[in-house]
Amino acid sequence: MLKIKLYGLNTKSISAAVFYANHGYSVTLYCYCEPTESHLNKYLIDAPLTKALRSGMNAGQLQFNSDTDPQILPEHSDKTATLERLNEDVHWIFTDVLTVDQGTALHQQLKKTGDTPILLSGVLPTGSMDKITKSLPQYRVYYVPFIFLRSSSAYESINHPHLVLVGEKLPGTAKSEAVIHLLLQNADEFAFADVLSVELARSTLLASMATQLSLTNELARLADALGADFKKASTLAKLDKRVSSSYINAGWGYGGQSLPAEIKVLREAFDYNNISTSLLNAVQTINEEQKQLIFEKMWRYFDTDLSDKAIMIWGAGYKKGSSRIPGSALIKLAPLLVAHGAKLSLFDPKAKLELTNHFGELPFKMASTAYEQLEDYDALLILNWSESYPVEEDCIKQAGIPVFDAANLLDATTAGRLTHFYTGIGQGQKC
Amino acid sequence: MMTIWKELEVLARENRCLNDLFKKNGRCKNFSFSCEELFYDFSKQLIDEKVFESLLSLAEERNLRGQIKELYRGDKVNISEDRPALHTALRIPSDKSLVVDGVDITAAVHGSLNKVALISERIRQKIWRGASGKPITDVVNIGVGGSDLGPLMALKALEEFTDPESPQVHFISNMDGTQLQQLLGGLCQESTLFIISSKSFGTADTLSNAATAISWLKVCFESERLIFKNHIIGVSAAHEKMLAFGIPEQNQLELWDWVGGRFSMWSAIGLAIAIKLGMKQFRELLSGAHSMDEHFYHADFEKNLPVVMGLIGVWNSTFLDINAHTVLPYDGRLKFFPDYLMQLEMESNGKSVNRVGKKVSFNTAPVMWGDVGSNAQHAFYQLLHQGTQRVSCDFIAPIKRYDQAAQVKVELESQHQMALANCLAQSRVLAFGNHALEFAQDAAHKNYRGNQPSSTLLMQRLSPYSLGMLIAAYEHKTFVMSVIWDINPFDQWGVEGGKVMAGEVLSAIKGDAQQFDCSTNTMLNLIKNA
Repeated sequence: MLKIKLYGLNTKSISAAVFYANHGYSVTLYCYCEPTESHLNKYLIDAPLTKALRSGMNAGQLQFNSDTDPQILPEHSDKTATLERLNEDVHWIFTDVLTVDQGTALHQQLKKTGDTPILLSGVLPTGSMDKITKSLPQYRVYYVPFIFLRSSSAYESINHPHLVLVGEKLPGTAKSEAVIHLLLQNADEFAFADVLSVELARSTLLASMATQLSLTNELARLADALGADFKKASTLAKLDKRVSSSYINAGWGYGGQSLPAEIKVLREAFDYNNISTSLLNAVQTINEEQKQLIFEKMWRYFDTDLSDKAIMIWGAGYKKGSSRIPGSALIKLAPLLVAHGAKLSLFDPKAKLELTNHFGELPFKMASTAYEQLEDYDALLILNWSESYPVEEDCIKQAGIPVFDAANLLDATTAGRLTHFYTGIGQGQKC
Repeated sequence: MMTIWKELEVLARENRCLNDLFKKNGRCKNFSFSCEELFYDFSKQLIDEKVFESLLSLAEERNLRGQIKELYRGDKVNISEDRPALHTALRIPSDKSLVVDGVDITAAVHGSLNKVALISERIRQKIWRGASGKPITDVVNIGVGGSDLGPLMALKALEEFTDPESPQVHFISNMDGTQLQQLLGGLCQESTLFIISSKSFGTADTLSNAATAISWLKVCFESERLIFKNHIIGVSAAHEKMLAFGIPEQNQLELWDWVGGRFSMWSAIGLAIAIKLGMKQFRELLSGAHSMDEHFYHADFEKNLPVVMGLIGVWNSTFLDINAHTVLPYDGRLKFFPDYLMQLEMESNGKSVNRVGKKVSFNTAPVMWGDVGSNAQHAFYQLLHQGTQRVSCDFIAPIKRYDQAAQVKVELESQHQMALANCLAQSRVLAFGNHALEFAQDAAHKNYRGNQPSSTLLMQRLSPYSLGMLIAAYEHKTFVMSVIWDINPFDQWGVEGGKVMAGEVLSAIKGDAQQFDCSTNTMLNLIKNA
């Protein structure tokens, strides 16, 4: 039975672990922490992944290792036996979630493993993966950036990837690796190249998305000032296929892990190479400001006094349909609103655990329903929404409270039917 | 029996030569000491053991110890204005009690400091918002004199302790509008906050700048109420005047009439410091100053830094007739320190009547100025070395610098060594003239006469704490000199006449028919007819 060891716990590593377990691999995921039920639940926000995980664990194909020692590869007294054991495994390292100590220790251990295939994933400063692959003595070292997660389900994405890019240390070796071959079989597109080119491709893709989003959001500010609906403009712009249509929707900006991490490491790479990058700086600045744009609208609406305002917030996640909170606008908005004396309630049933992990004591009450006693609030702040909960326009209308829609959940037509104040992002409602 | 004053006058007539004085062993040991991080060397002053002993006796005779106690406990030492001068209370720890006339001063001070902490942290953490909801990126401190020089000096000195995310802080003081005109073009109304600092809230310079700033904000915001709520903070002892001006209660920070403007940077006047450095560093500054207060109160006079500095100052000015004093920091961060001291010393002790209104018969505060030493070397050191004036000097330098530097550390450390070398070298040449130099001075124009007295203050490092100590040392030095001279250092009546006259001349410029002297009338006509 083929064995694969994955290092580092995040959504992507769990998805990969489950994927390989369900394809008959014996999989060990080194979590570097106690993988308790509640901890794992943090990453199991999509149903297909949860189901497949249970199945893989029940079949004994998937094991979690909680060893927190950076020296994670076991040292046996019989050195030959250890090397043999190591040599038969495939190692896949998710660099994003390893500490420097863990990464260094793993790196030292992997240097001893003979020509065992090693896969690297994650976002490090552009050029770093190339250096790491070159520092390892093995030829069979690959960089597989996880940039093909196109839906809200990481597990579905790894089963049917949109694009797989594989960086090879030695040209022509990746095709013959069973572990990589399996990844490619359902991919819409795949390509092999040297590691540095794949890293640059990753940076190009992610930074382009972030840049387009920030540009869109900056244009949406102008639309607000002009009283125009940016959604109409973007629909027209999408008719020209030269412009990607995926990242041309205004909102509170980007969050999550991949885009912020890419912009951060790319800026580091520019700094390290003494190249100025005013564009990336602007992309990040616009994105940070954008997360607070809805606050500014609320601030002005309430005549710069939010004390004792009861505010219902919908959605904690960083994007539509997700309750993952890294980079979510809520992380900055909730403390800011509380600091101004607002009383907050949040509706996002799936996010509670992650919110508790992040905030400790929550700066808001968790609401059990989105609409209950909505009329008792002074405002509704929409940050995110899930397809699981249908929007009930009548309930919003009945509540008769101002709506601040940072997710542009309601389009201009729906918003126009509301009888009370509504503002979105780039919908032309001045506030 | 001769009085100590007379004795000192006699001693002053003895010509002392530093080259001779230094022939005696142990001079530096006898005339230097440390106070925590500060090392004070006054061996290059024109004193000997007898002079020093007499100066110390003079301090005892003038009841300096008793007067320090009166100052600290809140007696009305500012007799012309019938109030205490409690700047030491501004840095008193919260667990020390100070009650004056039934008022809990400690509680009042810490109440105000807590409000400074609250406001500054809200600004730093981007919670404080402008009227449009934008966080504050720029803070403009509008004030003049003590409401300007203290925070300006401290922030320039401690810039490396600031956090890059903190707002930019700017200072506006001149009444002619030049600074505002230059500054406002680069600022955005939505993210700019103004601190209007004026103890009386009647200072024309400050109020004219504030009026221009508010007009600038009105270009962006219609509501004056929101402008004052979100973009203006007032610091003053005149609560009612701030209210009348439009500053809401929650944006007011309190001063007290027992704080002199030039002694006020430790109070809410230091808000700009707290915004830029953070409250932790501001409290370090206060802590350093308090430590100096304790030293001044408790230390024996012969090892008491402010006492010795003050006595040396009196000796030079009053007894040796040296009426010019310059302060020379060999550290660019202290660029504004001499400016700060100019106000502190000249406004405090530039007096010619004593506490009971009798004209004094001796020199009081010398003319004081200064600059960063290495710049000054290329400006006025020529006069110090070869001019006809006698000038006393204070050299100031940190021993260690750049130990945290990330780039070109070695080069910067080398530059600091150069600065230190120049600092020590200049005091040597000033003191010993030709004798300090190895080469022969073969022409009169190359002659260095020497015998210019100086002191050198070395500090381990420039930090909020050590700066607090340094400033407080000079505050107390000023007080010591005033005690010896029996003058009131806490009023400044000399600046009032000009203000009154400016009001009359302004009326004349604006059209009121008024007659002045022929010189003023001629220029007024030129201005009005232009």
